[in-house]
Amino acid sequence: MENDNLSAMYSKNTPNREDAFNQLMDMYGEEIKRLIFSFVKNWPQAEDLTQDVFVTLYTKLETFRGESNIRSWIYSIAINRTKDYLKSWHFRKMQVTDKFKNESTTEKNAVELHVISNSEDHLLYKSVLQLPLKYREVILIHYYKEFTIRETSEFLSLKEATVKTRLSRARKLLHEQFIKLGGER
Amino acid sequence: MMEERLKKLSTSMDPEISKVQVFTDKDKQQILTRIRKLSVPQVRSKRPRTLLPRLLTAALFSGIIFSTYVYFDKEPVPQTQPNVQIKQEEPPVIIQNVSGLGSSVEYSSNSEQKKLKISLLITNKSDSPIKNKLKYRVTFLNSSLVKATGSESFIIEPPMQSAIESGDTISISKEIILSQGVAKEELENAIKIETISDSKAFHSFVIDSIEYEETKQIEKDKAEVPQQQKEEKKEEPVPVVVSEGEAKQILNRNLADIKQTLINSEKKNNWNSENPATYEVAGPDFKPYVTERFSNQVLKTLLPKYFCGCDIGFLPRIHQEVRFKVNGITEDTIEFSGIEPASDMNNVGSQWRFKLVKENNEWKMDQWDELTLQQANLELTKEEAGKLLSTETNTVGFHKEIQINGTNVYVFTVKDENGENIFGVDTRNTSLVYDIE
Repeated sequence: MENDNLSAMYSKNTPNREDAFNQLMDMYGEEIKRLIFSFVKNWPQAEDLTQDVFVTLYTKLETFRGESNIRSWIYSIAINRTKDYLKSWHFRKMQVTDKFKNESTTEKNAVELHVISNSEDHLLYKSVLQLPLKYREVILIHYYKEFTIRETSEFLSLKEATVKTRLSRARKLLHEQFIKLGGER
Repeated sequence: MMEERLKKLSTSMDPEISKVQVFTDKDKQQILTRIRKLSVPQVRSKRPRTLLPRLLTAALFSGIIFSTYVYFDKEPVPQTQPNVQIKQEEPPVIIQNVSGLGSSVEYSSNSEQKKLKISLLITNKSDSPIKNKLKYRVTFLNSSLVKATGSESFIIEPPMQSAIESGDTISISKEIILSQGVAKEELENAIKIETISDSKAFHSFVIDSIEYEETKQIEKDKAEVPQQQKEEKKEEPVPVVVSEGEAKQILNRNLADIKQTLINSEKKNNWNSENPATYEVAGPDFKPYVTERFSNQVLKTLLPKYFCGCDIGFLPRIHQEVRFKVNGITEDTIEFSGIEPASDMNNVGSQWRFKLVKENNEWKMDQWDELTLQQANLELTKEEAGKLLSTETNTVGFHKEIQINGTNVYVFTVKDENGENIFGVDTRNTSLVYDIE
């Protein structure tokens, strides 16, 4: 319902184009920025990428035909933009520098934001963020953002069977990591 | 159990990421500011103009221009290309299983023409037949000869060759038209011959037998058999074959010329994504650098899409030090192969093959083909992988070799102005590995 209304507002030549875009930022800015952070594990980069996503969104508003869910469309832009960044030279330099220094950006940022606890939720969060990207992305999209396997496969341009396999492998890796960090079996 | 925990991830993860709002008014204002700077018109053309591809295109072209790989457009000046110079002449491995005893050089001149005839007698001194196809590199050791022949060296490649049995001798001769005369003493110990098999020189000698003919004799011969000589002349190709180093420079120069012509054409005709180039308009500018075949087979399809601004690298970017090979040189063709390593834009490398042909005394691109390295197994060495990562502004050090999913990956430390980083290179296909465990 909500999407249908928005679709109508975003149609070409609508006088409410700016208003509609502002509403989109209000509705999805928070969750998109959080999702991006969970991919890149760095707040300044998450901020830049979130801006990129919404600027791209603005430039593509008139191409949205309403054939897909507006949320899926925005997520699709966000995931593609973030993955482009993760493949980039710049990111790899940052990423490996952090690894080389044996100092996780995730942990640094986490410390800045709240006191680290050893709760099960926190251990799970830490475990998820330590997954290699190809496993982390399926967990984040399917479990954290609750998209279906089919939607996840579409976002990532993977076959559904591949998504299922990666989810299975990701759960195993997560379990191992969770136990390693002190979680209960 | 993990499945149950994950089902709660949608609610448990957000407080862990941040307990406070992360998308603020500041974010919104920055986004709106960027949009205002874009000056996006309210009514647009049918074709959407998006920012991201343009930014990436700009980055791509900047990358090409400032790339620290030794791209072809930086290649043409020989003095600035030590990599080409270094690789062109490998020291010969001397194995005394052939002999050039009896080889000679004959110089003749008259008022019209000065000629040098090199006659090689190659004897198999080993106990077994030589079955490999042999080539002979002729190198001139004095500057007068280099000037007169127009080349420091060339290769004689006999078209038909059967095995040379043990003890057998074969003879090969080649005539060269000289642009100026040379003195007899300038021929003494001045012509080196290397016998080459599989790109390796395995024997070399210097010709010490010289016949220096007077002008009158030539004129006499000419008077006796004018028609016969005329026919022979027709059959003689210009026997100057370039060296490998020269061949690489010719290729790099040709690629640079093609690229520059594209740049000039873009400026001249204002080609862009909404005004794509047409072969009919842009094509003729490439005539000095490409054959008709290349023009028909490559330019006709390349030109309309080249100026799309769509982040695709259409032109080859051959790494000059890793797997860049001259596969064959004759008097009028040169064939090459080389690799374009993986990049940020496309994290899979490519293999390129090129063929240049000589038309009207000019080398022109006749063919190029690109194959993906996705399914390849280059079995890169550490040194090669290190060269792929090294640039003018960094130093690369081998760190370790690891296996990821059964694939060997060389891990390097890279030092540059930003500090020390670590990178992996897939030994099969040059891909950069970023998920190093």
